Amino acid sequence: MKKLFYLSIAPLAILLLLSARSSKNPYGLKRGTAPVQSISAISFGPEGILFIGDSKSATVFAIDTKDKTATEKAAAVEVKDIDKKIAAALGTETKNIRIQDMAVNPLSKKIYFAVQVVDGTPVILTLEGDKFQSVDLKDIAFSQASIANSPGEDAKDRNNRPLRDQTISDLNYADGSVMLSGLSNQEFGSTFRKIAFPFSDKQEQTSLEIYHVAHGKYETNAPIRTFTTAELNGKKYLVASYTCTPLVLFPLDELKPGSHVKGRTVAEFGAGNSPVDMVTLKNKEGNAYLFMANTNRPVMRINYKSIATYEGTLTEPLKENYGTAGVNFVSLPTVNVLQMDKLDETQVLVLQRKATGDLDLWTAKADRWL
Amino acid sequence: MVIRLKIFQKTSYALVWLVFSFLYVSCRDDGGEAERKRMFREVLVVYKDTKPVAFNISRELLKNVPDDSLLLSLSIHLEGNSTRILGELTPEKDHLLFRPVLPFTEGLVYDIRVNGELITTKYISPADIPWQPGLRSVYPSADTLPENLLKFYIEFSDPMQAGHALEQLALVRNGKDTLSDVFLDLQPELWNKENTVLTVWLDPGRLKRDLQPNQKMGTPLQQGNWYQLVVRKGWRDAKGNPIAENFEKKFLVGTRDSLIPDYQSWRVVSPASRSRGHLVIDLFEPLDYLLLKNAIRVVDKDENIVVGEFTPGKNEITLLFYPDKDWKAGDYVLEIESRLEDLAGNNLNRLFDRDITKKENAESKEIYKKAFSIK
Repeated sequence: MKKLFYLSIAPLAILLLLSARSSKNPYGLKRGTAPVQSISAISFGPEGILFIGDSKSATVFAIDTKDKTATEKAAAVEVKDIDKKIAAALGTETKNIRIQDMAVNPLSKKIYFAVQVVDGTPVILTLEGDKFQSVDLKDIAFSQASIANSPGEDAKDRNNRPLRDQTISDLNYADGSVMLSGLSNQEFGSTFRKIAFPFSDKQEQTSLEIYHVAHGKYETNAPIRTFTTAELNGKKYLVASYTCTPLVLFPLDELKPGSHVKGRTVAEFGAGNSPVDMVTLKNKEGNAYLFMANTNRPVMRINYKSIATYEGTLTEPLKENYGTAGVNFVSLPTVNVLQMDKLDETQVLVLQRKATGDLDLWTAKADRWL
Repeated sequence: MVIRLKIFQKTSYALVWLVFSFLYVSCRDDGGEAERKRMFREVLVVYKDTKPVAFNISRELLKNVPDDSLLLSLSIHLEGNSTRILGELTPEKDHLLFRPVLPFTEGLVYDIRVNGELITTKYISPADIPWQPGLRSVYPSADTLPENLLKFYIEFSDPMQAGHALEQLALVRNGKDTLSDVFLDLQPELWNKENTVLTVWLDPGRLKRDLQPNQKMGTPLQQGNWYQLVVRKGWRDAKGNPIAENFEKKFLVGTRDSLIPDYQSWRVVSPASRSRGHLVIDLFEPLDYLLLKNAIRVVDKDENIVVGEFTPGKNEITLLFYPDKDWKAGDYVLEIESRLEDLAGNNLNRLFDRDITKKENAESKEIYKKAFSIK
């Protein structure tokens, strides 16, 4: 039966291969089993390519999900007690799993979850309707790039020095590069890498030391917890946030190999908090807003125009405990958001711990947030 | 009466345990035949590396189901739960192999259903003799630590469960106050590849002068006080076995460390040539345990690496280097990566807490070198 099926599709496959020859495998992917050991962060690139940040093997994987049927508008999603449902689909209890990251494929609008399991098994699930499916990492098209050593270290280092363990805190794709922020388990500091995609043997990576100047006096190379990119006044910027919640801008064109880049702090959104996720939405007039979810603060809305027109850098320590400064923001009536991603241009997918203790996935209408 | 049989099958690659149970019917004329039939109608658990990774489901259980609808009809669930467990179902000659995405969880009961109807259940019994994981050590090992201490390393005997570390840790001041908000809450947590060493940062926002948490709450540790780092019992290893006892590390907090490690003042005591004696490096201050192991190497005058192992000595105030081969007489260099830190996170290039209004005279380098010779 199977053979017959293959025979019938073989000519079609050959035709397809021939027709697609010029664009065949444009990302240099190879077939096989992606040796993913852990999943810290996931994010989509072009044409259904899913990037997986693997802290354990210090590698970024690009896998072809083949999920590239374009859908303009996504159906709103609501799944109550999602952790219980994921645990049931994995045949285990909620205490054994944690939803580590969530990403929406911008083409198909399908939702992907990276699930961390206490025994270390890496799991990626998709959600279709109210059914979960697992993404098989066997026999898929993929490529990978190591982030274990920064470029420029001499070859002999590889012989005799253990690779550094590094945890990936966020990962995004923009302008032909995968960008990721990370934290070492040994030395303290912000590591930020920009890796050209498709990955090549030459590994065109940029490793950066990024500083934000706290209150004009002390410099911290604290790790970036979440980031995005944006165009402000015609120039592209990395928009990053750290624990204790400063919002810092770095010009993208200054992110060059081996450079030490100092950022400009344009806002302090309050101590005792870590930023979780960022999304950008536009209102009907085309004005863009940044939405940021936080561990101990509500979701914040920041007008990109306010960021673009804020010329200063914060130099004075805050006078008020847990106070804020710099660019204005609005707190939305949405708290305890653990994950957030854009579902489509008018909807945001929110993973939220409710006051009842339940973990729910739901869809926020952009026009209610804007 | 239920009897459990265990068959151990050792292969060169992995230990595979097949555990199956069946109903033993006694005092019946056809007992032997019934027993044999029931054996074949059972579900076996397939183990790999001690994890229950699959069910081996006898076709006898499914004999009324047409072959081509088996894959659609059969489903595995948590006991009483409607959600199908994700996994791969492979038909084999006399059984079906169901391999879930995640290994089955010990202590849970699973339903095997055909077209939604319960056929049988399977209990995954926990391992008979639970192994008790232990805490090996906590670094830094000294019992006096600087006020601006940046991190602890906690080393376990076995790979541990990740994700709930901060619930298992407490910092107690002077034997009575359990301090809150002292550790940096990171997800994912900072484990090594094997999940045996956890790095825990004291909140850098409270360590860095002039940042708001530092101004309002002060540094997590304060000079002159005694502290206990408590690692609570019950922390589970990756297989679910808990640590049996609380662990406490008691220490006194001393002065602030605001100096870059001075590698030039290190004293290198060399062994004799043509011996495999170890090199002793006196550091004169405790340095970071993991970085001492990873951020230094020995090269000879031709820049060949001398292969061997670095082991921090007592309280990480000395560093020992054990070469794999005998020393040859000649000049050598210790190459020290600038990322080497002291207990306060000051590395060879910069202070952890740096005032940028002050000009620093030290140049920044990737590698610093210290020469020594073997005679």
